[in-house]
Amino acid sequence: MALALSFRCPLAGGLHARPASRLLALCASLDADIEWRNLRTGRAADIRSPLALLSTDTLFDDPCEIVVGGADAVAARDRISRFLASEAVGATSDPDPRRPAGPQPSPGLPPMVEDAGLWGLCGRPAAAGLAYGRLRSLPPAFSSAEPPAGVVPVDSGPAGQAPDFDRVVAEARRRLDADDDGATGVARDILGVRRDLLSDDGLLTALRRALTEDGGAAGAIGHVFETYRRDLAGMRNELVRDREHDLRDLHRLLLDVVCPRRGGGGAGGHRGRPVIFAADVTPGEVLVLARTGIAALLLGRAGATSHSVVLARALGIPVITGCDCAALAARDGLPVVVDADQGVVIDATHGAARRYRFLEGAVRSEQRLAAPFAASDGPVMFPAVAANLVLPSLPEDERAALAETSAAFRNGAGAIGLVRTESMLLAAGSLPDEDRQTALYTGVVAAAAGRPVTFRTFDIGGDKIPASLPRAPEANPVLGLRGVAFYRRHEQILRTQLRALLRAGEAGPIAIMIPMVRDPSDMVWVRRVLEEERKTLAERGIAAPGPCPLGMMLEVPSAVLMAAHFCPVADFFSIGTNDLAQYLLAIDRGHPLLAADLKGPHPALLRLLDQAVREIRRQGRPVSMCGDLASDSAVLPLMAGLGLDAISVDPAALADIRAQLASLDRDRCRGLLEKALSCPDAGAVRALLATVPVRRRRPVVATDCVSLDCDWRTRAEVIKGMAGRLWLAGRVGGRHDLEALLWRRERHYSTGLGFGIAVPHARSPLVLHSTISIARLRRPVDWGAIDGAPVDIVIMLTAGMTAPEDDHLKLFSRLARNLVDAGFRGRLRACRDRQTILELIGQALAGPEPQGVS
Amino acid sequence: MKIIAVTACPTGIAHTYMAAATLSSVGREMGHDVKVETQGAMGIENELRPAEISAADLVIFAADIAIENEARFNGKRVLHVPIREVLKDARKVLTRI
Repeated sequence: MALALSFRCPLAGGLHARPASRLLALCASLDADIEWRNLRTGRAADIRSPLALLSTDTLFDDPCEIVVGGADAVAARDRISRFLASEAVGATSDPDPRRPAGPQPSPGLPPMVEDAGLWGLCGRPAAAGLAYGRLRSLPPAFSSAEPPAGVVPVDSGPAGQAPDFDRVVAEARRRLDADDDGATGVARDILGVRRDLLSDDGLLTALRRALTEDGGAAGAIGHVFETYRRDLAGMRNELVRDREHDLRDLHRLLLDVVCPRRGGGGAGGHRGRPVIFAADVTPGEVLVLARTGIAALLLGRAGATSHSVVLARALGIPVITGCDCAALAARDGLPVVVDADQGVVIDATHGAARRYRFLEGAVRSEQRLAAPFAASDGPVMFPAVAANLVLPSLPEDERAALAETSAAFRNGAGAIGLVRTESMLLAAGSLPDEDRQTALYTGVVAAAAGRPVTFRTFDIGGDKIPASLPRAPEANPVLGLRGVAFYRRHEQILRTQLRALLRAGEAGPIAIMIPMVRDPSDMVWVRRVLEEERKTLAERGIAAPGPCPLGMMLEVPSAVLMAAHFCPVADFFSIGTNDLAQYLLAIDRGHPLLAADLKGPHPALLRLLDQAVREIRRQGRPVSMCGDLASDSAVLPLMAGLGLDAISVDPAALADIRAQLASLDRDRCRGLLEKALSCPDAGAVRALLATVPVRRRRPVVATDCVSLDCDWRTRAEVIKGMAGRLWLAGRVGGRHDLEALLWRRERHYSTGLGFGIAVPHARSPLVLHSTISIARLRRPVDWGAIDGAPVDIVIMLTAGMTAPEDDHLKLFSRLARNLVDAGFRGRLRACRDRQTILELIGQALAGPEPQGVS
Repeated sequence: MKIIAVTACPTGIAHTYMAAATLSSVGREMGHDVKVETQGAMGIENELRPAEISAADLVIFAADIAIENEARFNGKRVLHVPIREVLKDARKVLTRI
């Protein structure tokens, strides 16, 4: 009997390669015949053929239908509908790895480059980084899928023998596996797409026919791929059109197998690490280029979300897209500096370009040593910041998880606040045994090197159900057997996991956290089970490690409301905002239209949280937050106002969140929260967030604003250097944009006011804390000053635009008035160290207006 | 001489005030009676009153942008100078009058 499921495609990017691969994995073990029909395009495809699925050209919200027939029809339909719900827009909490890192493109060349009159080229930043190398075009053998000249096609060999199809495919698979070896995370995902394509029934059949029936293997393969590529090129879904690259990779790979090239196809001939430019590259080419070692990649057509760019980013290669390749080709061999954060390529034959690279490199390495938040001159950060981690769904991805753990600590995490463990259970289909789990958990604990790691036991039930477990159908699984209710019926799953966690606890400090706790008795029961398993281990002769904190997620509204009653039974609490908001506001977090409303933040949620946090803190228990709201920088001031002990965020958001927290004022955040609690709805809360000042007040001038003995050699270098220092001090949001603003003012007319003093200035919302910066230069520079004299003292005024920052304008105007006084200038020039400069400026800001001039 | 002036620059956080300070002190040194209105980022400060405007012998606009409420000065003798001229040599500006 055939079953049908009608729906509108809930996938944000439409049905592109990765969901297609997941559907294939999901249905591989089922016998059912499953067809995906797109009612808009009228195209249908077997769900096990990724290429055919792509060719349905399914976009977000397209009307679709899945028709299932055969033995497992019901299971297949349920599995697919759960998958669609979990992948729906807003349902996934994974950070989007396709989001380009770094700032948005800045228009035009950097002022320093323009000022020096250097040749340069602008593109769109796609993968951040600073690099240097000679421009080289992609070798022709690289950029075409056609067999290079001089290759002897196999089919022209003796007796016109056709190559053995199975051997060709097996060899191609082996090479893909070799490529994938060592790839982690996104890179692995992307490379896996090619493997799935090579399992595509439709493609394999066409290739088999081509290899055995047609006259020439190379031509026949080319013909098959050409057909598929033409088909994809006509698609409306951009993510699907991008798969043309993967087909090109496969095409070349098969050609390589069928007609081995002489001399191999590497980026041969490159001496040093070149900067490669090309209209377009495939992921496979990126991989080969990365192996041969390249400094940066400049692309003409590729978008920031193409697999090639995502892969390059994952491999740490700086990338700029949207480059004028003809202009680059005209300069083949030229040494260039590539600033991929800014999207600029600069002729490096000129000294100014080398200075640019030096100054940019200095700011970046200083930032790595002491990220902006570290330079703050206020109280220590609140709350503490930890990282969330997802254990890999496949055991082979373990290395990726460990690398992520180390990266989180490098980015300033104080702990791992949440390890999600259920993914391995859901993907593996069966429960990994105790030893396997122990090894995995121990790996993470060891990577944390003594810093605490909080593991959440399997959060299963609802939309997350292991395929291997028998389950009675639930009409409303999100309100069904979840968390502890699930464990009580599948006790062995919990017991095995607790033993594995206790054993992992020998490698370092861990805490165990229980999801979906409804009543205090749940925690009493879990604690008893934990102690029993500790005894079991002891009986097996495994030294039971010391006491392990046992805490709970706060995500069921009733439990949050009753938080006080849980304090005697839970050692710590962590707020899971995703489920809590869904249950409280009666909005399905997977709903394509409504889920966005959960980001609110709704005042009801804030009231509930505020009450619970006060209650828990009164009883002396620690309370933190690990839900998506903690990683949302827009609502961070509200979360800070709650007075949490810690927040645990996505590793990708860690640096930003830390920097923002460092700039927040605790009392102001609390005041904001108090106001938000009496708002009628989420819209009113958002309006408050936009208007109420929440940042810490910082003095307008401080030690970190005074730089002596600066080795900057031109006006452009001084402005670049001072903007960089202000950014390092955490006082401005975007240093490049600030630099551009300061220049806009300089172009109006020079701010050199004579007597060796210049006063560059800007007023912008970019400025987080209004600042007077002072730099004394080792060598005077030409500033185009009104008296023509070179400048050696630079006083930069940067003002913010929010209401509280306006108070500083008075101070700026007072200093400006002082600067036209010859006596003041003389005293300023006589200052020998930071402290006397600060004192003099302090007097000027506090004292009466000066009387004498010039 | 009774001199009144208005200073204004595009950003309004530095030159407006440097020019105002210069005009007042140099003007006083040269024996004039000077009052300067600033039109900067903090808005209009030290605003010139109608009586002061009508009593003034000379109005100086030391500005790189348009002056606000310029109609107040209709019928007065107005000297327009760029701010940089004032900062470069205020004495020269004031001897031109």
